[in-house]
Amino acid sequence: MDGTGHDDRGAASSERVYRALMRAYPEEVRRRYADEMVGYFGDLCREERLRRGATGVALLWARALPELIFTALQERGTLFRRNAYLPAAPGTVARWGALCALLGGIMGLALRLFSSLLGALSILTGYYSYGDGPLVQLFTLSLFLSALSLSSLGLFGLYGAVVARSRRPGLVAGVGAVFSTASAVLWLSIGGYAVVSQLASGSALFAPFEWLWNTGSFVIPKAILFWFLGLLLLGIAAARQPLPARLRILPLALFALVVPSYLLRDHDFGTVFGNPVIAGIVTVFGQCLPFAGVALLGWVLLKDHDAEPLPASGGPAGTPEAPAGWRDP
Amino acid sequence: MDAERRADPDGLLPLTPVALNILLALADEERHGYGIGVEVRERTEGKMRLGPGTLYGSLKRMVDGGLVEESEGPVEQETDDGRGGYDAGRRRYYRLSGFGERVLAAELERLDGVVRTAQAKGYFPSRRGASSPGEA
Repeated sequence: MDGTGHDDRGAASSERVYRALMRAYPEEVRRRYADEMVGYFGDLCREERLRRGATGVALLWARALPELIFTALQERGTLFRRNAYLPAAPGTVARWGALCALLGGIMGLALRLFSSLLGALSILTGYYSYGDGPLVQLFTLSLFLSALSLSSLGLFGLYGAVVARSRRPGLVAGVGAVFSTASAVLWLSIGGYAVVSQLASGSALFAPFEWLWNTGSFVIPKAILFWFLGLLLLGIAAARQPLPARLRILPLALFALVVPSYLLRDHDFGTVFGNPVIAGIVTVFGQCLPFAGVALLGWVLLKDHDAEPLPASGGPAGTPEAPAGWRDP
Repeated sequence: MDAERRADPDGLLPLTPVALNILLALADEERHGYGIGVEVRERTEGKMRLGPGTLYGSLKRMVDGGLVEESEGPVEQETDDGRGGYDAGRRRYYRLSGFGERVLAAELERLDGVVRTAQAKGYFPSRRGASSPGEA
């Protein structure tokens, strides 16, 4: 057949791409079925090319991509519900959670300091208007990056859900993860809106600045509250786990750090200290505490996992129960 | 097999269409993944095309549940149309386990009951050459 070599090359290319996309599946699935799935897809490619040529292959890809995404999410969801990740690779998820905490904490800390510096510059230069100007643009950028850092912290919430994998604490930690992630998404949406507004208007940074300010003023404190609540739940869940003492105590300690900073966020330290500079430093220090705490926690967790894997607490994956989701297509 | 000892076939019913068709594909002989996909597609006249994720996700659950077993399979042969296909060493064969046969029979019996009910209500034409579930 004339096109056999060409067909094989095309199928091999498709196989390579499909194999790369298989990263979407959990490691357990890839380890067991990656070669077979890739081979199966390659066979389907050869078949379609013989039948309908390039159009057939394109149609096959059009069917395969949504199917890959859907089934990958399904497999991840199934394994997450069964906690089956943990016996396969107990340290992997925890390590990612710790990395998220470390990076998110460092980013949050740096950006909080950056925002504070911009605020100080605004005061020193007498430039209070938020309508336009380079300082405001930088401020918006820092807001957006802060939202990104909180997204990492939202992912960190998932770490808690995995670490605290026994029944009730696991559920509590899962709720905490949802709160943490909701907080990150809310912040990201506001920061993203600000950036899009800037790009769309081309001049004024906060195009409908009043709306953004009012919305942000309403949403952000709630988001922060959600985040703190999530941290509290994570802390309680972690404290009840058979983990090393540092892992049990640090989340609660972290919460102890962030509560005062939240409660005192609107406190007028100027009247307390009688000096605006000292008051500003205290305020910034308080705002930085949560991020420093998260970064510290991530660092400790990362070091801990380098030294010793988390002890498994016997999730349902190791029990002889019938798999709950096997009937799903 | 643990699943065979612990599970009641009726507890797994009804099967999804994908699971039912995969079990049917394995009812007469052991097949590899591609063989299952082709058999299902041809038997359903193209109405059901199993993508890799759907096929192997279902196989994984059925293997874990003890309905299907992995096997060495027959000695690898050239495909009928002479296509090279992929490396024969990557093919893994699957066959019905005893528990899988019982689940399939229970599902077919359940479907047969549905058909008989529909017939009794006049919503389904009479069967021609009906066979017992065990012969499926």
